[in-house]
Amino acid sequence: MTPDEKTLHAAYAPLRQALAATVPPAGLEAGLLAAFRQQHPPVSRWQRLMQWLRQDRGLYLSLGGGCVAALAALMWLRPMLWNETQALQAAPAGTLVPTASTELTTAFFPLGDPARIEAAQHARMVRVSMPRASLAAYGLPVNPELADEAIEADLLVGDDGAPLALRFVRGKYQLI
Amino acid sequence: MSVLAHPTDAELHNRLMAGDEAAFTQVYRRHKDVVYRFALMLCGASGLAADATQETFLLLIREPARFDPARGALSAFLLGVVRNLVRRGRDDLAVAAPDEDDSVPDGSHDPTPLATLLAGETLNSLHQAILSLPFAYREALVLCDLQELPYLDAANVIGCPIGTVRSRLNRARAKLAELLAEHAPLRLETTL
Repeated sequence: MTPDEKTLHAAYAPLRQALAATVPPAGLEAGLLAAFRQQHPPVSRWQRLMQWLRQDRGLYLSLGGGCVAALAALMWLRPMLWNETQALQAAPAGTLVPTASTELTTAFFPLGDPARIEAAQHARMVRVSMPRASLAAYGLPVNPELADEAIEADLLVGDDGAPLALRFVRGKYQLI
Repeated sequence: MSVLAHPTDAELHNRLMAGDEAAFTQVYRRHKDVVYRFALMLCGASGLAADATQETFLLLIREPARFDPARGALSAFLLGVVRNLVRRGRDDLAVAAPDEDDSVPDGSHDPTPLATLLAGETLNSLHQAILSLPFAYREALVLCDLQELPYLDAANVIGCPIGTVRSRLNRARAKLAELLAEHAPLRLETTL
C-alpha cells in the first residue's frame, strides 16, 4: 500500500466503522429458515438412514456388517472345527484317522458284470494301494505332479475272492 | 479446537444441498453482514438492502447448485447475486456504462486530496456522495475501499477483468473527490 493509499484508507475509516455497525434485520434469519424448511421438509428416520447409507459412511457400515457376519459364522462353525482339530491332534503322527469325516471316496465302480454284485450273498471290503495312474482307467483326472504316488482304494470282494467293485479313497486334506 | 467446528464454505454448501438446516444457518450467519452492507452501500436504502439480502439467500436455498465451489468463493458468489439484484431492482442506479463517463484518465488521480476532503465530510454527506457515483464506480469503490476485498475477489463479484476493477476504482475515487470538492465551498459559506 502506497503512502497515499494509506492516507485514503485512514480517511475512509469512520465510514467503514459506521458500516461495520450495520446488520441486517433480525427477523430475516427466521424467515429464511422457514423457507429452508419448506424447501427441505423434515425426513423420516428411515429416509435419514437411507441418506446416511448413500454417503461414504455406508461403506464403513457394510464393512462392519461383513465383520459381524464373519464372526457369527465362526462362532457357529466353531464346535465342528474344534472337533476335527481334536481328532487330528489325537491321532499318531503321520496317520489319518479313518473316520467318514476325514476321508473322501468316489462312488463304487463295478468290476466286470454288475449283475454279480446283486447275486453275491456276502462281500467284504479290502483296503488296497494302487498306482495313481489307474484313476484314468475309470475316467478320473490324474494330477501329473502326483502321478508317481500310490492311491488307496476299497475293493469289494465276493465270497469266491473275485473283486466285484472298487472305489478310490483319499484323506480330506490330501491332494488327489 | 476441532476442524469440524469450522467447516469450510464448500463443506457447508454440500450439507446445505442435502437439506442440512444447521449448515444453512451457519452459512447465513457467516455471510449475512457482508452481503447486507454491500447492498446497503449500493442502493442506500436499508429496506431495499434487506430485501436484496433475503432474495440472495433464498436463491441459495432454492437453487444451491448455482454456486460452484470450483469457480470461486461462496462470499464472491453471494455478493455477485446481491449486486445483480440491486442493479436490476434499481434501474435508475444502473446508469450508463462507466467507460462512457470518462473524464479522468487511469492513474491520473491523486488520492491525497480525496483523503483531505473525506476528513472534512460528515458520514451522511459522504454516503450520499458515494451513492451519487455511477453504479459501476460505486461497486468498485465499496468492494475495494470500504469492504477491502482484494482486486481479484472484486473482479469475481462484478464479473469483469481485474484491470477493469482497477481502472473503475481510480475513476470512482476521482469522481468522488470531484463531488466532494463541489460541495466543500458551499459548506464553508454556510458555516461563515
